[in-house]
Amino acid sequence: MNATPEQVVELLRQTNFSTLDWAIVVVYLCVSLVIGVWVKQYATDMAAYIGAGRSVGVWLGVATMTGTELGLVTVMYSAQIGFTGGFAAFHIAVIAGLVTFVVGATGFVVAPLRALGVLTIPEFYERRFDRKTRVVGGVLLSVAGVLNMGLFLKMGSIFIVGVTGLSPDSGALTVVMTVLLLLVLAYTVMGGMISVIITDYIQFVLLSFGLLLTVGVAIWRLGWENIFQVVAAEKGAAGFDPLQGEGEFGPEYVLWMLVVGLIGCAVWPTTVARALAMESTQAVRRQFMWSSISFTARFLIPNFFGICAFVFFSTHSTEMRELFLSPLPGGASSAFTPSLYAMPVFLGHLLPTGVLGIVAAAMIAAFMSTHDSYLLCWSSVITQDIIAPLAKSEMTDQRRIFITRLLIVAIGGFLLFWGLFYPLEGDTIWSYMAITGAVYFTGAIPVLVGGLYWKQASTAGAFSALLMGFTALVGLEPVRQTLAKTLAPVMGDSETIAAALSAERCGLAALLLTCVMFVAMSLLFPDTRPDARQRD
Amino acid sequence: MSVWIMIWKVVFVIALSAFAVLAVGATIGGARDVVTLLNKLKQDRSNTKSDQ
Repeated sequence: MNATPEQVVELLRQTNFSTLDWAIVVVYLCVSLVIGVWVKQYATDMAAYIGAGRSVGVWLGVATMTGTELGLVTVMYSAQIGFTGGFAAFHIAVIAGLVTFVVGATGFVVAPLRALGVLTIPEFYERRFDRKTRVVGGVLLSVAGVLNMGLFLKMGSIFIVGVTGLSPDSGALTVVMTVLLLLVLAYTVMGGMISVIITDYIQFVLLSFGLLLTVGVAIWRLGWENIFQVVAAEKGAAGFDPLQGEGEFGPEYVLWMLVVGLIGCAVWPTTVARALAMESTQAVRRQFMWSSISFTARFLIPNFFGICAFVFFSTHSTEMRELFLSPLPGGASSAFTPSLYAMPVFLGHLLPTGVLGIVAAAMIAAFMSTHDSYLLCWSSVITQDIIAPLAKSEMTDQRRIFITRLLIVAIGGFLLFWGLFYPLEGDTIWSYMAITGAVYFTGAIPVLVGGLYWKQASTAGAFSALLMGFTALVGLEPVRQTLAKTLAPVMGDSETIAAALSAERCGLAALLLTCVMFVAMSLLFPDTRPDARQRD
Repeated sequence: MSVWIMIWKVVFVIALSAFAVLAVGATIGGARDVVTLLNKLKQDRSNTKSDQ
């Protein structure tokens, strides 16, 4: 049996989400908005606006970093991976946690960056290399960063549509996307990092307890042993062993996750921005060691929701099984992606009224805490590292804050456009994010690590490594497909070529290329003057 | 497969327990830090005003 579009809508409407749940969500949103706008009075200069006056304590740092990195998009893509890959997906969480702990214990990259007192990563590029590297680094960082968050808005809206039982084809997705965006823009534009940190804290509290509550209810309803048994019966060993090539992952994927895990905590700008806002390097280290727990949980818990959704739809009813576990017929519903809708629809069926409202508010909290931080991060990079260095005269703090606010709104507009028009077929969301992020981080890893720890690192090496980062774009599904079709006449079947150009393989190859370029160009074209740190 | 099942069970229980402890710790400690942060920013703002 194949579900018709009407049956899809009808099945999605069978949710426990009620008026009480809507009321809980609306009250939460109002409280968050009011607090976010209230703290606007403290954003008096640029250091306060984008760095919260560098006065954030360890616990608040842990809460706000968790709030930022445990976004709704993370919940959505991790649930999708859990749904398709089973317990084998847990390897991503374990790697992320271990790597974050090691970075905290050693202070790798983040401690020396905080010690330098820079506000953004490209600012370090200028101090270590030159202004040109700062501008190029800023351009790459903002392009990759904005592209990377391109699907956040859509993912958040899919969650809300799925959990509330709205129709994915009725235009509800666009309306939800617009409303969510306007809410986040309102308080981020006004209060900057101070609003972001305070609202992140509230969102952390709601989110943490909401997630723990949901895990408890899921285990209680589905049965602890039953969850493992159903995955074993349906997916076999591939549902548990991440190294099995015939499953969703394999050794290359695991290696790629190791790289992505390191980037996620030591090089990714929104995480580094939190480190740079801490009161001391010691606080940075403690913040990262504690955050290793939440860096594990941010993948593990949503993975588990995806697994539970898989178990639920495998055993619930024939209609649900057909809808979520069978390939979708062409004309069934263009806006419906089963693996993405699985987790929110599952929660809509699992949680009772009232609890569902709290969990939905927690997920919206996750959505907002990530959006505000990312919007502020990319817009401040464009202001501080592209516009200000290129400006003919010194820009005042007020002028910088004004430009940053305009950019936040402009990026918001892009997110709405991109979310509506980017095709989701083929890529999992996680692959999309890893590859768009790779445009920045494949270049940033050698430049940051080499710049901090290798005396012979030169401007030419940094410049070429940053530019080489663009090669990671080959890993995006539309680019891979186009490339495969172009190469097909000379290299054979286009499907085989596209399969060989897997996202993880393209990402690893791009990283290798940038590292080789960085070392080779640094040795061939050394700097003739000492770096700014030595000049100071 | 049974080894992997055991590993993921242990990982899940440990990670979830640690996250629960962290959630309580960061909720209490974070509230204290928010108050300290706002006091410091208030102080900074009044210093800026008096300088002007």
